[in-house]
Amino acid sequence: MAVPNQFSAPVAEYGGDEVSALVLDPGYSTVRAGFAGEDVPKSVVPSHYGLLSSGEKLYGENAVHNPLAKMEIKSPYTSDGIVEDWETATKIWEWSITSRLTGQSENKRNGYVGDKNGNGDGDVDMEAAEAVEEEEKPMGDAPLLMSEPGWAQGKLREKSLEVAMEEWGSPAFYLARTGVLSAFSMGKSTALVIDIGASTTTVTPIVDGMALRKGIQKSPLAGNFVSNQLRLIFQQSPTPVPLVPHYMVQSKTPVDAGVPSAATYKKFETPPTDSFRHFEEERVLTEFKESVVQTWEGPGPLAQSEEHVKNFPGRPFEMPDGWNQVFGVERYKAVEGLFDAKAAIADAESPAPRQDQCIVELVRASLNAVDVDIRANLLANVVVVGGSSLLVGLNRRILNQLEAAFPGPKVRLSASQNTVERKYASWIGGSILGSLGAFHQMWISKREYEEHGTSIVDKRCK
Amino acid sequence: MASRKDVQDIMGLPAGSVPPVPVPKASKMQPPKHRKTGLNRELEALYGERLPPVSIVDSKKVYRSKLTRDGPAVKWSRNRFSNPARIDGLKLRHWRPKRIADDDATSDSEQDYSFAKYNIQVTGPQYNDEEYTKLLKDDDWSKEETDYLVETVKQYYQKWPVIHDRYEYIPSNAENLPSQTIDDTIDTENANPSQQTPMALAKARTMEQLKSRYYTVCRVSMELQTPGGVQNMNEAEFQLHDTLRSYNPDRETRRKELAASLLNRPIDEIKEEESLLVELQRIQIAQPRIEGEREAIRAALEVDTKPSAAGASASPPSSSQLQQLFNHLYQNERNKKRGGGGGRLSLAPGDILQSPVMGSANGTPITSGGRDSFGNNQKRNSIAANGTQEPIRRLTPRQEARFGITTHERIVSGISFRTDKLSKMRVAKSQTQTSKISAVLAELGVPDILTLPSDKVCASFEALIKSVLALVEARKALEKEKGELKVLTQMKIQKEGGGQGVNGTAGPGTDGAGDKKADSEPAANDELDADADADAEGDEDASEAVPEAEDDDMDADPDVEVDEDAEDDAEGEDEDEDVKEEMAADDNTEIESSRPRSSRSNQKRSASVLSALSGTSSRRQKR
Ligand SMILES: Nc1ncnc2c1ncn2[C@@H]1O[C@H](COP(=O)(O)OP(=O)(O)O)[C@@H](O)[C@H]1O
Repeated sequence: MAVPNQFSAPVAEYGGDEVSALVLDPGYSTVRAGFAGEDVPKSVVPSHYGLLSSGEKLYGENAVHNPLAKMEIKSPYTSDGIVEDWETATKIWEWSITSRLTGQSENKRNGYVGDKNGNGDGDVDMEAAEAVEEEEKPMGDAPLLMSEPGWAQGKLREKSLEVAMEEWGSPAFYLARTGVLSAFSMGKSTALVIDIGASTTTVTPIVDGMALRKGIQKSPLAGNFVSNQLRLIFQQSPTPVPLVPHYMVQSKTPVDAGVPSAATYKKFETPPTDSFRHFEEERVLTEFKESVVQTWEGPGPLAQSEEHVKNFPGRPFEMPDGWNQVFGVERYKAVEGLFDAKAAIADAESPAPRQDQCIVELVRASLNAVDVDIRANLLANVVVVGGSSLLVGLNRRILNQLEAAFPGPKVRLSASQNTVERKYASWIGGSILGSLGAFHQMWISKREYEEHGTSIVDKRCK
Repeated sequence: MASRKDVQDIMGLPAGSVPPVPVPKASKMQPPKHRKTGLNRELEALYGERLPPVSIVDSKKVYRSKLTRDGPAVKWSRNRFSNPARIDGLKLRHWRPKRIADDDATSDSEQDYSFAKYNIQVTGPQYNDEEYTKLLKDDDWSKEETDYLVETVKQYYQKWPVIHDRYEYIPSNAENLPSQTIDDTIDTENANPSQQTPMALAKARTMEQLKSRYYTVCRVSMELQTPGGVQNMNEAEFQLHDTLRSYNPDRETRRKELAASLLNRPIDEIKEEESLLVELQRIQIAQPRIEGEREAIRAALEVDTKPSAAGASASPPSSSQLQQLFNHLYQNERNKKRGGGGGRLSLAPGDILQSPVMGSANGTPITSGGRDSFGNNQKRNSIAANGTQEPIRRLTPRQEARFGITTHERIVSGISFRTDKLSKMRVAKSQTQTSKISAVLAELGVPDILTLPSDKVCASFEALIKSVLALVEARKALEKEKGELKVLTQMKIQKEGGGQGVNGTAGPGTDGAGDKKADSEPAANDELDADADADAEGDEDASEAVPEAEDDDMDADPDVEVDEDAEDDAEGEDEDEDVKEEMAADDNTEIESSRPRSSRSNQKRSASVLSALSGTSSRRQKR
């Protein structure tokens, strides 16, 4: 009955043409990787790595959360989200792809095993590995679409191309800006993207699929900042909140709210390093952010309505060791710094932010840097993405403040209701882009790279 | 039953505008929600308003029915293909249904890659060195920069916001000046270290400068390209040429400044603009209706006066003729009313008085013609009167009313305001009386402050107040009577024997006693209807007739009043302020405008007023 015939068939052309491209979206907290055309990244790997005293580096979720003695947890990024340690970063990114997606070539895998066991076999395999042709490099099979932060310039971009071509042997490569990809993930080619990640908040104006460089604004007020605020709140509260990560707890027994925990703790011969503890604490804090922290909806600062907010119901939270409490107005305070620099909690180590680093000011600065004619259009297409945008109430607040700041033009805010789409927006955008038939003319092929060198990246990936 | 026309009439809507029938929304707005069941639903409830950290996938997914297909499965193969849109021969691989013909899975089976057609290159203006020096030389722009501009525009697909954003021209020194060409996408230009150079070095150009230069170059290049110059261009080309020529950077800059200030307007200005727009819309909606009505009046005048003017232009129209005209207009008006025409300019029978007077006073025939209103007409007439040198101007009663001229037997010295007079009227001797009056007024929907206290409004307000006073008096009397009746009944019951439930006090005649007595009233009082009240109180006693009569009296009183109002209403409701000033046929509008239309509903309304009143009084009594 409902057999599609030539008349009922959809007229719109299907624009996809999947070439099994790999999409790699590295971030400060996690690296996302997967095949273009899929709707979520298959591989999400922490960007941190474990450095053993022997100098060996361990990657992946299982390794970095393992409380080994003398394992330092490190990040190849500087605290403001710039890759510092390229060598390791490359390894982590490679790991995110090979561990889940492509697998390693036969030789290489043997090589790894050899290394781990410290057998003599390793030598033989290594020789064999060296002998393999370029095709057998880890990612020689599929073109690679990689994302980069919008503010990345010159050398950083060229470096990515170099790594992909030289070390991974990609047959083709493309570098796209995260902002643009996030806009694509929301189906927009013109948008003002507010990306609130772990280390940085970036505001990127995008017109017709191209980011306006002068309008890109960046600030360190993002997820890590909120975590830090929480730490300070915990320390400064009348009864300090004990922040005990999961790995330290052997078993716990229920206790009343506010009463010291009655857990038995694990005993370590040599306790894990401070950096490990800090990293594990961060996990607890993320849990806390997910379930307790909330954003005052504004548009005025929280300080003005604090009395009112005090009447809002609190939320209980239980630490891994059983300590628990109901958090009242504190849970609003951690995020307030993102909007109101004066409300940020500061101490000697973490100075208070400046007002011009707050989200609405970033948007304002960004709009002022672009042409007048497109400002209204951008405001009507505000896209909010990034893991920290999942903080409850954050979008409402952004919208309220933007509307108060720009009373004239219509402000419309789009953010996916789906957590995964919000967290991995830039990856998803990459997945869409990488599977479009019309996109395949954009790849930088190996041959072009050989002909023109790394500078081609600026020409092609605009 | 009130028809739609009645409603339109009340709301003052034009007859034609049929309000859009509200579409049943529910079905449209909310697609049938998929109801989660079992564990999923409970899980979701736990999250509250928070987004779940992982998305819940509905376990009871309905899968598509299985595909049935006869014949063997189609084989797919992963083919290498080359994209004609690329010049480097990159071969990517994708999955395609395998055709029987080619077995070689890895061969270039597709030469015509379907997406290659999207590879569209932007063409830019072209010129050579000689042409440049001859036609395009500009002090502000070097050739090198012009080349860069043209190239940038091409590179960013003529998207000016992007071009302006990325435009970073760094004048190269003499030695590494690249011999730039504009033919290749990857040219020597990127050899210069543009990235490392600080942006400050780059010459800042506004978008208008860029556009202006580029359009000039385009225009010149177009002229060069078309043999024979501008004359030989076809329509489209010429238009483009013209657009390019008329680009005015200064005007653009000013426009952008304006746009920026528009974008940054403070909230107050926006609010103000909004309210003005609403006002404008209101006026625009009302406009055609007023026009139409005036037109109708004019047409009527024309039809009626033409023959008489033509037949006996010398002799003034007799009063009978005028009478006829008036009747015609009046009839028209009524018909329109009947037809739901929502008439706004209205005539009352009283208006007829003035017409003959006017005619005879001026001694001029009413000339037909396109006049806007009676007012205009009269001005003309008075001019004509001046022409005939009539020394004393006499005003018709209608004119007097229009200009607000009144004659008084005795004039009090000093100035008094009508509003004062009005508010004084609301105040009675005693406090309770005053509050009762205002309660009644509120019930009738009379606003505290009358918007337009014209003479007539005042007069009718006075009349209204008078009847309200009467109403209040009557009610007071009724209450007194009721009290007395009750006492008497009680006494009678007592006398007859079984004196149970007797309230000791028996001081008939005073209000206070009446109130106290009311305490013993049966609970039937809950019914707040006036009649019901009376029924509940009265036994089968004959003396009951007295309060009942009172009751009727009360009912009747406001009813008469209201009916009058309703009649008046029928003629002059919903007038716009301006029209009202002109015609002012019926000032009750002000007072009664919020009243329902038909006298039937008026009666009901008055009943409800009464019942509410007695309701409140009985409630008070209970307390
Ligand atoms: N549900 C959540 N609520 C609040 N914060 C969250 C949530 N999920 C993740 N985050 C925070 O988001 C940050 C990671 O965001 P992400 O966009 O992945 O950053 P990046 O792109 O820099 O890796 C972390 O700081 C994490 O704590």
